[in-house]
Amino acid sequence: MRAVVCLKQVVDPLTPATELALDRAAKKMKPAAAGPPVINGYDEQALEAALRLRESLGQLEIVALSLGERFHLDVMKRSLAVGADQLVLVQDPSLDTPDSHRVATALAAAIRKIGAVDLVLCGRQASDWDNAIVPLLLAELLGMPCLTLARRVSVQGARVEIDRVLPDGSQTMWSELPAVVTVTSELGALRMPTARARLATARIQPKLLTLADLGVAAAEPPQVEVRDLSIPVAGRECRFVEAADGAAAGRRLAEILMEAGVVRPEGAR
Amino acid sequence: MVAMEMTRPPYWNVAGKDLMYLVLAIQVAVLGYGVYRRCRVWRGATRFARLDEIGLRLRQVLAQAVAQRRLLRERGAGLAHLAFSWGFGLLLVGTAVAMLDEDFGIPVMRGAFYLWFQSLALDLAGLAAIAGVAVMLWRRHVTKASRLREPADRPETTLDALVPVVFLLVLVTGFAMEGARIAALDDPWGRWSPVGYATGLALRGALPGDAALKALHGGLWWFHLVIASAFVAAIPYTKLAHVVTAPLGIFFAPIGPADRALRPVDFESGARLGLGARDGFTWKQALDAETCTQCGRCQAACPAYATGQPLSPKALVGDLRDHARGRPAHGPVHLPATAERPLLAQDLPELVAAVSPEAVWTCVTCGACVEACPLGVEHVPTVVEIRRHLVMEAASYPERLQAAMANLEARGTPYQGTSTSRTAWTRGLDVPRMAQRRRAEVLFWVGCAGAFDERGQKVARAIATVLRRAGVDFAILGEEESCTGDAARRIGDELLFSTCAQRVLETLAKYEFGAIVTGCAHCFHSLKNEYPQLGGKFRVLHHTELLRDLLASRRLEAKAPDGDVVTFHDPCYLGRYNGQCDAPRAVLRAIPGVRIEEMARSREQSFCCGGGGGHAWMGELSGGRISHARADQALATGARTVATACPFCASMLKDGLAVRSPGSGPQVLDVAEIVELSTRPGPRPDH
Amino acid sequence: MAGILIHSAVEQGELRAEFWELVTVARQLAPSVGGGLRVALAGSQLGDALEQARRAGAAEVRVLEHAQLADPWPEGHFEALAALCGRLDPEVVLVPRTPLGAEVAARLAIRRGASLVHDVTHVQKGADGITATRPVFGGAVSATVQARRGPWVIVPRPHAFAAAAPADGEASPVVREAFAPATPPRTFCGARTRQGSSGAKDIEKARVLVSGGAGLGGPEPFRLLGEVAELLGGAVAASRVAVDAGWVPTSLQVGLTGRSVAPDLYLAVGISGATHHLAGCSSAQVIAVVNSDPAAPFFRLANYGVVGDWKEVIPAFRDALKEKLATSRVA
Repeated sequence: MRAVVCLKQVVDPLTPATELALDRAAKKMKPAAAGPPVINGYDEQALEAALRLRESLGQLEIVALSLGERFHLDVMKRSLAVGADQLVLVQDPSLDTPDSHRVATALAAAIRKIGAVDLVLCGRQASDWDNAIVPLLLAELLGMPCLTLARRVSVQGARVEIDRVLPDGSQTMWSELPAVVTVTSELGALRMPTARARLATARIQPKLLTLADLGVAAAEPPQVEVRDLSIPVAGRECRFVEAADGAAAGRRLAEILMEAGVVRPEGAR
Repeated sequence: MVAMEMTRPPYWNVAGKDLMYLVLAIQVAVLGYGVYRRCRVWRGATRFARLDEIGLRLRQVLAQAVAQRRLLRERGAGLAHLAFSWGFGLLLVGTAVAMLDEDFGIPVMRGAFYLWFQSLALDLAGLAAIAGVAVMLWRRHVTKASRLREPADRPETTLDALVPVVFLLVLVTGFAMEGARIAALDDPWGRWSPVGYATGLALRGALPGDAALKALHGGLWWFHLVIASAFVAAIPYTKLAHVVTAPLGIFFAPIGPADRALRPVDFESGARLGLGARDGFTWKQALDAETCTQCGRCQAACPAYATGQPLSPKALVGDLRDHARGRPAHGPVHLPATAERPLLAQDLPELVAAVSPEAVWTCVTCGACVEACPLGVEHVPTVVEIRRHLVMEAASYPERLQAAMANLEARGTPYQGTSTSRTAWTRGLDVPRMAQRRRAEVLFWVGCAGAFDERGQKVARAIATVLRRAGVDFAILGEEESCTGDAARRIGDELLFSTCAQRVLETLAKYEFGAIVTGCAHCFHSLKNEYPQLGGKFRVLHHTELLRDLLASRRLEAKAPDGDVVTFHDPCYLGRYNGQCDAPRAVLRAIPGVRIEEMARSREQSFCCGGGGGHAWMGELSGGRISHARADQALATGARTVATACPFCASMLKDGLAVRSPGSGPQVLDVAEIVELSTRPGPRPDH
Repeated sequence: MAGILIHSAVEQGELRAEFWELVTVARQLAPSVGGGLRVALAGSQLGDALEQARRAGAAEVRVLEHAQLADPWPEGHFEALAALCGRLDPEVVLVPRTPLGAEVAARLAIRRGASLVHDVTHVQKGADGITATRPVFGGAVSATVQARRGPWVIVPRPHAFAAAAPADGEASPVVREAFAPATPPRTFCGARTRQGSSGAKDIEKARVLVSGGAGLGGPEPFRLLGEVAELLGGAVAASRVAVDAGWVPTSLQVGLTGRSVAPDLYLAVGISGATHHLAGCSSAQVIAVVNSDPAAPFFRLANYGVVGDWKEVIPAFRDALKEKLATSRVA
């Protein structure tokens, strides 16, 4: 059985706001000065889902797949260190785009090229554009059913079953394989690799593909274009509570909120 | 009679003397087999020997094995051991002298030497030994000192339990025999053996005549010979082995900060990483396991054990020895563990199962056990070696630690979830950056705690302010700084440590500086003692050392008097690991009016704050809180200020005091903050 | 291709608060879209929701009522909506940003070849099609996007638009639709478990939220937050870290992948303010932040800030509050 896990390399969402910089002409985020990119957190959790699946099935080939313009190999190779069997990177300048159709088309082509894929695992959304549409598009292009927001993924025979997270709980859902499944953060963090695996993967090179290898045509203009990016100015002026110590600050905060009418006695019925 | 020589007749009243040599031969055979069995543990062990500084090491053997300084820290038990071991030692010498004289015919047991040493001194030595062993038996079986108590699953072996009893018998029969001889012979020099003489008088009164005395003596002689031989033969089979192994262990024990650095790992060799099976032992680890007498001094010193956490360094060493000898593990946990969920996967390496993973992760690496051990056992490096195995071979560690390490790998700091910049703490201060200056007298190493932890940021601000006030030419690395990797090393991720260190060394290579000064005891230890292993040799100072010098040379003037009673909490990695207990105290004393009130456990015997060994990110896994216990100890001094010199200690103690003395408790200040307050220009503000 | 269609799924007979925000968006777009407003309600038992939706001033309310729509089953809801859109051919479809809504919207855009404009805080239609503003990179960056070609599926961000008032006049007529999926389903629903939200009020409705995050270090301190919330007649909420760590149930999570809230007061304790979290609470009237890290990004969004240790601040805050509320009730 073979699973593909789609990984997106994103700007570290924990980059301090002071370090963020925009390339307004290119309408892109400048690569963060402060640190290297990271694998989208939800995608890491999708990889963890695949690893757990392998543990329960006993056998599962895991192919990590990513698209992008430029890769930080140390970051992407973490997928191999934790247990992916193969890392496939599709490199093209046109792939650094928020255009979901472009990304999904290239992913679908890569998954067809990998071939005989039973399960595609994706993060529920990417921490940069938060669209949550690529997995659904991908399922459409591959003709597979799509299950979303899994906090648990299991496979029985030719059927994949998930626990889908709902605002007030969860629901079991299933479909036939092959299928696309998106994973949510409740599933749990990606495991740490062993040092031995980290050392071993340092010597492994990922498989690099171009769009030409995949037979993907030149980009069409996206349905939704980015016109502009800007860093919004903070909307509020913070009034800091000055006090001798924490306890005094706590008391003062209560006074201030009462005086400002934010906290009202009738609120405490 | 007057002309009678001052000696005693050889083998008086001994029948079948040649049989004695058979007994001795059996003794030697049993002894030899025991030694062989014990030495098997060394088979396959990795070579490891500290052979530098032989002179210092020999002095250490003299101080700890002969003078037994560490044992004497605990007055009663220490004196008992001293009396017992010295008494026993002297009696052995006496026996050897007697053998020279009686078996080899070398006339040494004569004259004044016979009277003063062979008779009087040995008599007193025997008395001292009896007193010592009696005290020890009393402590173990009557008052039941807690550190001596054995866990239910590893009771004291019968042989070990018999050792003091047999020893007492050897001594008592020795005296009885001597008394019988003195009485029967009416020995003119009998009074030189006062205990023997008194015993003789008593025997004479109790027994009908010389024949009975002679019969008693003859019987006792053989009995004495057999049990004394058995006693010697038992050495390798019992805790008595430490008579031989302890001097070795003490010889190879750490003699300075550099010896307290963890061993680097050779990733190229392909060997198994860390300690996960008995074949992973080093010589020293095998020696440690064999030397330990389960005296429990480590356990009594351990802050985790003291707060009811699932770790006893004594049990850990016992477990390792059982495992090394191939005894089956007694189950994964032998102390009550209250962790809500199992920490690790089921398929643990046998050795880890033997010592219990909880114990391995509970350790704060404070080194109190190592410092307390009279035999040179090094528990902490072994704990880290086991962690290395868990982390690097099995990627198995507590979840919260995992998040911190993932963050350290991705973002260069174990403080996860922060999107604070590394220089946020400098806001409003003019702190020069190395990138602009290229060179500085002092490179101020801020550390991740200084950069990202709220409490640490205040300390960093105080240090920078004071350095500026003293006119020190300093700069920070700013955004270029990254974690030394200390946390990774302590939790066993040596690969991550070496990645971190490589990055730091590359950054440091870009600049010129006279010394690195850091406010973090952990960064200090790592940079000073562990970076040299990777080729990073720098002059590294702890901020308290620089502050001491600045105050002594009057570059800083602590004018504002401070009437405070201050207690100083020694950070483990400053005091115990680096022996630097004086600098922070010298700084405090340089401030007019400050009075230092020491805690019961201070200096090298300080009690950890609870934040070491990765616990700043792990939290306590189960049991009580070390920080609360330390807060109680600080409160007991009545001090209004608890001073320390490490941001982790500051933040742990602050939390501890907030719980143990809410509202009105003493404040926790770094030494640098106290100096900053007392060197402020103008009148001293209230704080 | 004409007109605007609002789609909303109904659970337990309640109309979601976002519905009235979608009505606001529809009214804003109506002049430039033309073709009137329709509403589609989907669920198994619409109950009161239908009567409320009829007050939105729509030309009609289409009802997609079927037992199979009882669950938030994305494929079912999507198929029902897609069939309806096949008949109505609306130019703009508005869907709320709920886990179900977002997925139905994406599936619909794919099926119809429509442009999906997701998570918008501002939207307008001109000669160049739809232009919208939306936060990206977790809210750290604001993007202006343009979708020239219709039809459009628009997903407004919760609380970014004011709730519309019900329209005067006649209630909209109701047209019942058959649930007739175009293709046999490929995904199936099984057992549903609801988290025992014992005492936890619905955080979307609470007027005061006391929210805790990573800084609390464990589940116990949430009890303290609960005491404060009780005093203020509010509820306890949490950041994703606290939820993922298992300290509190998912239903309390505020943020991009949790709930979006807009209370009168949002008191954040030990939450640094990752953009992911801010996305869910930036609509609060007043934000007060207690954090030990003076550089915590949350302070940039706060009206009131306390730099300090919550272990000291919050117990004192609670006690002061108790005292003041007691005295003001007496007075």
